[in-house]
Amino acid sequence: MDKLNLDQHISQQFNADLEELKTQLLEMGGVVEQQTINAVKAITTADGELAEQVIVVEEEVDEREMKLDEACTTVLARRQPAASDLRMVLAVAKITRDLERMGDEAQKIAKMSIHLNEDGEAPRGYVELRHIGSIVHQMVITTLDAFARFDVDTAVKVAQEDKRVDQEYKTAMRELATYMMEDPRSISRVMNIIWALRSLERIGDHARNIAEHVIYLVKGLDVRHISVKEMKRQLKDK
Amino acid sequence: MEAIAEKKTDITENREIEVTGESVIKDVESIETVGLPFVDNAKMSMRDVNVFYGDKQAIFNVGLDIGKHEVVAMIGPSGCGKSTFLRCLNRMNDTIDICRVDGSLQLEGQDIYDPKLDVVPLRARVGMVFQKPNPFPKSIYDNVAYGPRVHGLVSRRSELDEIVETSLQKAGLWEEVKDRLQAPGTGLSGGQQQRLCIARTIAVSPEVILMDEPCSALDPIATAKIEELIAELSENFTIAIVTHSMQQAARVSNRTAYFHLGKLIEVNDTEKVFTNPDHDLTEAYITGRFG
Repeated sequence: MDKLNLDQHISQQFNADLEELKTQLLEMGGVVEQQTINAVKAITTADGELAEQVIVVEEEVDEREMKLDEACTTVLARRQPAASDLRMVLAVAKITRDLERMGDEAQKIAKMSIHLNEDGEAPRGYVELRHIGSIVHQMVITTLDAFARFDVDTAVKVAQEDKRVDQEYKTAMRELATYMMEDPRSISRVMNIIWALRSLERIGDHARNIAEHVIYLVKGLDVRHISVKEMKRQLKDK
Repeated sequence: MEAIAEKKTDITENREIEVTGESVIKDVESIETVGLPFVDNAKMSMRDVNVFYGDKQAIFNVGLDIGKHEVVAMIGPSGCGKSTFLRCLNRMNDTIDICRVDGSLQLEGQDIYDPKLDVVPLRARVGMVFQKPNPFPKSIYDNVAYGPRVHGLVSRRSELDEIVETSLQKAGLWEEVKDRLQAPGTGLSGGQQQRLCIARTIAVSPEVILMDEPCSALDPIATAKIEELIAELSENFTIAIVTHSMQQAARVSNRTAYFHLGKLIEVNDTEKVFTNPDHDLTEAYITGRFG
C-alpha cells in the first residue's frame, strides 16, 4: 500500500493542517454516504419524513463543502505545498466537489420520493432502485475507504463497479421504457423512478471520480477519461 | 493512520533510512541520479564530476547537462554541494587551494579544465552573479564598462556607451539609472545593485550565466524583478541558478536538479519535480519533511 507520510513534516502545524483536511473530508463523506442510504430508503419505503430529513441535511453538506474549500485555500496560501502535499490539497478540493454533487443527487432522490407520495406509488422500478441503490452505496463506502487508506487497488475496484452500475442502469431504463409504452397512464409516476435511478447512476459516477482523484493523489497519475483497462495498464507501468 | 514511518528519518547521518516503512536508500554512496540529467542540445556537459576539499569529498559522480537557453535550478539542503558544483562551471573553485575537481566538464565540447585553457576568457563566457550584490566601488557606468574594457571588447567610447546602455536595459535597470550613470554603484538599493551586477555580467556577452542565490539578500519586489529578468535573459543566455527558495526554483527554471549530500539525486522538468518527483528524497525535501 502506498503511504503519503502526511505526519512527517518538520512543521507540526503543517502535519496538523493536512490531517485536518483529511478528517474533515472523511466526515463530509460519512454524511453523504448516510444521505445516499436515506434517500434510497425514503423512496423505496415511501417514508416522507426521511425524505424531508435528507433535504434538510443537504444544507449541512453544502456548508461542509465551503468549509473544506476554505481550509484548502488556507493551506495553499500559507504552506505553498509541493508534490504529494500539493496533490493532497488538490485532491481534497476536487473530492469535496464530487461529494457535494452526490449530496445534490441524494436530495433529488428525496424530492422524487415526495412527488411519488403525492402522485401515488409507481407500478414498477422499486426492485431496480433497491438493487442499484445498494451497489452505489457500497461504491461510496469503498471510494471513501480508498481515500482514507490512500489505497489505489481499492480505487480501481470502484471504477470497475461504476461500469456495472452503468449496465444495470441501462437495463432498468429499457424495462421501464417498455412498461411505460404498455401503460401510458403510469408515465408520470414511472418518470419519478427514472429520475431517481438517474441520480443514483450519477452518484456512482461521482464515486468513480473520487476514486480517480485518489489515484492521482497517491500515484500522481491522471486517469480521468480512460477505460478501466487502460487505467490498470497505466498503473502497472508506473 | 497507517502511513506512519516505523523509523524516523535520519538523512544527515548517512544511515539506513526508512521513510515509509520500507527502506528508501540503504546507502547514500550507491545512489544513481534519476530523471533526465542529459539533454540533446547541451551548452555545458558535465560527466562523472567529483570534487574534493583536501581529503573530504564534496561532490560524488555528478553528471548533468545544461541545455542551450535553458534555466536549470539546483536545489538541496545546506552543504549538499550545489554551490560547489556551480562554482566548478567557471572554475571559481580554482581560487581554493585545497579544492580538486575530477571528471569531464565541457563548454560546447571544450574541456574547461584543460590546463592550457586561460580562465579569464572562460569566465567571460561563463559569467557569475553572487549571493550578495558586489558592485565595484566605482560609478554605475564604470561597473558595467569594466568587463568590456579589460577584455578589450571595444575600441571607441561610443561602442562602450552602447554596451553599457544595452546591458543596463537587458538587466532592467536603465530607466532607473540613465540620468545618474556617474553616481557610485554602491549607492543603489540592494535590488538595483544586484541588477547592476547582472548588467556587469552580461556586458561581456557571456554564453552562460551562473547565479548563486541571487535573490537571497533581496526583498520580494526586487526578487520578482530578478526572476522576471531571468525569464527574459534565458532567451539569449543559458542560466544555471542555485537557490534555497524552492518556490523560486519552481517559478524560474525549466529543469530542476536536486542535490543531497554531494550527490545529484534527481533531475527532471521543474513541473514534474514539484508535482510528482521520482525520488523519495526529492519528495521529502520539497515537501519539508526533513531539513
